[in-house]
Order: sequence, then structure tokens, then C-alpha cells
Amino acid sequence: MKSVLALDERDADDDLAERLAAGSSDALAEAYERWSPLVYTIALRSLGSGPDAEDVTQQVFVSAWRGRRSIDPSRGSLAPWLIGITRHRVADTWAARTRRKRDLEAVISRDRSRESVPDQDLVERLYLADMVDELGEPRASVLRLVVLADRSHHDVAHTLGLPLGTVKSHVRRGLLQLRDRLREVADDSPRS
Amino acid sequence: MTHPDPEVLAAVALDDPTGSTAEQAGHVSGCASCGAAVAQLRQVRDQLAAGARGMPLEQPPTSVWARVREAQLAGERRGGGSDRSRRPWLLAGSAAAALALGFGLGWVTRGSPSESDPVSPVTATVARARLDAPDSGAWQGSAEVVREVGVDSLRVTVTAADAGPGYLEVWLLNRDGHRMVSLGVLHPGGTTSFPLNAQLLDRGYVTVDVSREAFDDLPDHSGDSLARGTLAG
Repeated sequence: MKSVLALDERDADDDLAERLAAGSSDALAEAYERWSPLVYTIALRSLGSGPDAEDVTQQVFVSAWRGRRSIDPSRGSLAPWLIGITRHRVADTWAARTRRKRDLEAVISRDRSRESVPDQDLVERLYLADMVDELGEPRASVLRLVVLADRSHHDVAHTLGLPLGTVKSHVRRGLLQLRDRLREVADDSPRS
Repeated sequence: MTHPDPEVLAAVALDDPTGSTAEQAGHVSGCASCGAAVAQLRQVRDQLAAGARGMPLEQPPTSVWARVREAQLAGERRGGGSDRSRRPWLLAGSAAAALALGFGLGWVTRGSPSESDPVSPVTATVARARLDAPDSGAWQGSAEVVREVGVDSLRVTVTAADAGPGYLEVWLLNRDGHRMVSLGVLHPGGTTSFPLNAQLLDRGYVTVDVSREAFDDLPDHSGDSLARGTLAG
């Protein structure tokens, strides 16, 4: 099924991937600005340590720069690729912890908050939180009000001053767009 | 009937009865692929709701970007090496060459003859270093520790002071090959004198380094050293 994403957003993402692959230093800075919160938060929730999450974030973007020639700009957003690298770095950190026995308690207890690789559900939830903004306005606000704040369509239409039909359309299309975005994150398994 | 449009499925997933006709709803409940699509959309809705509640995306500290930048620049300069933040400044070879030159040429000066008189105010050169380019060993300038009325300062002269688009910064690097302190910005052309805490020398900060820095918000050493030399005296 064809993606229903707005063309503007896709172009901006494609352009960034292309420029980074070509070795633009500005592109690395833009990619860091756009995606470092997502990378950092995935690492932070997976490892439970600020310093470790900082190291992982640094490693991810350094790896991204060194591996920039392998970027395929036609795949659109850099996010799935960066998330893939993040998974590997988190797994490396966990393996190093296990070897060092630094966090013995976590190794022994194996509780859910300390998975060895980022939990797929966690990655998807964080990715979705990041993606909502990209839907533009008023769609992002409509989605947040209906899905997060649990407001009725009537209520949202009244609050935002939009026709009821428009609000419903925004919620439905927004949900479909997010579903499409999630597929990219699930399908990608880059090696780096 | 054929499968309903995606927006209809989305409406069903959102539990909005106004988004589908009775016929469409009936189809969805009996159709495997439509049912699966609705289930998937419901999961996206649930994940969206769960993901944002009390779980905002957090920003990494600015130091992380500084280290990425450092590694990026270091990698380019050295043709791809290990992460610079993990590697000490002291590389076997280049710095050692500068060190050997410094000692060999006998730059040690024990100050003026009247240094033995503790009362008279005197300017004494306590230590000196020749500053060389780290890669080629070519002479770039000199540094000397000058003591006046018990107060030390480091005078740095760099002859061909090419800062490029940025500025030149002067550092003292520690013998341990890891630690460093910044003394400040070198004035273009001529000698710059930096107030110097003598304790730094005692603690092993004896190698003078001049780096090219960019006008950015990264305080760390850029990794691009123009000249370096170790103080002897």
C-alpha cells in the first residue's frame, strides 16, 4: 500500500540522508539535532544509566559518520538506520557490563527494565512519540487531544475551531501515517 | 463487498462508530485481513497513548555532541582511527621527536646571575621549550616560563601563526598523556604572556601545545595541533 505521508516531510528526510552520505558535516549536525533525543532515550530506558546512554549516543553518531557511505538515500528517513545502530551499541554495552560484572544485580535478577537489547515495543513507543510532531499541524494536535487526552471529536473540533469531519479525517489519516512509519522501524535490520 | 478503505479501518480501530457503515463493520468482523489491519492500527493507537504518558524524549547533554564532533574531526585528520575521546593526546612518535629536540638543543637556562639574591625583583627564565609541528617536527616557535617577583607566566611565541578561520589556543598537556588545561588564546603575531600557576608544572603539565580552534561552543581541544614542545629547566 502506498505511503500516505506528506511529500514535504519525506523530501526533507531524503535530502538529509543524501547529504550525510555525501559527507556533509552540516548534515551530521542536523541528523544529531533531529535524532539524538530518540537515540539517547532508547539507550537511557534500555540501560538505566545516564553516562552509559551518553556513551551509546556518541558511539551511534560517530558510527553513523564513519559508515555514511553505506547510507541508501532512497530508503528515506535516517531513523530506522540510526535505531539499528543504537540496538547494536546497547547490546555491546550490555555485553561489556556482563563481562565486567559491574551491574551484578541486574545480571542476576534479569528484571524487565534491564533488557539486553532495546525492547521493540519500547523503541516503537518512543519512535511514535517523536513522529507525531512530523505530522504537522493541526493533525499532530488533533491526534494528541483525541488519543492521548482522550477527548471526544466534538470537543476537539470545538477547541481547535475545525469542522467535525475534518477532525475525524485528521485522526484517521494520522493513525495510518504513524502505522506506515512504524513499519520502517520494524522492517529495518541494518548491520554496522 | 470489497475491503473498505484504510480510513474506514482506522475509524474502526479508533472505536468511532460514525466512521463505518453497518455493512462495512460487518465485513471487518468477518474478514481476516481487515481484522488484522484493524488490530495493528489499534496497537499503534495504544502504543501512541502509552509511549507519551510520562515518557518524553530526553535531550543528551551538550558534551555528547562535542565528543562526536571531536571524533569526526580526529578521524578525518588521521584517516580514521579510534575514538579520540578515548585516546590520550600523546602519540608515540611525534611528541617524542619534539621532546628530543627540546632537550638536545640545550635550551635550559637557569635565569639571570642575580637570581641568587631573593630580595631584588628579577625576571628569570625558569624553563624553555622549542615548539615544533607535531607531524613534521618543523620549528614553529618557542615558549618560556618567566618568573617575576615570584609570579610565573608563560610566554609563547609562534612565528607562522596560521589560525585559519578560527583562533589559536594554548594548552599545557600533562606527562600522563591524558590531562590538559587551557591557558587561553594566542594573540596573532608576536608573543603572548599567560599567567601561570607554578603548581601546574609540579603536577606534570609541562608540554606546551598550540591548537587551531573554531569559533564554536566546544571548549575541548580540537585535536588539530599547530605546535608542541616540552618545557625543560
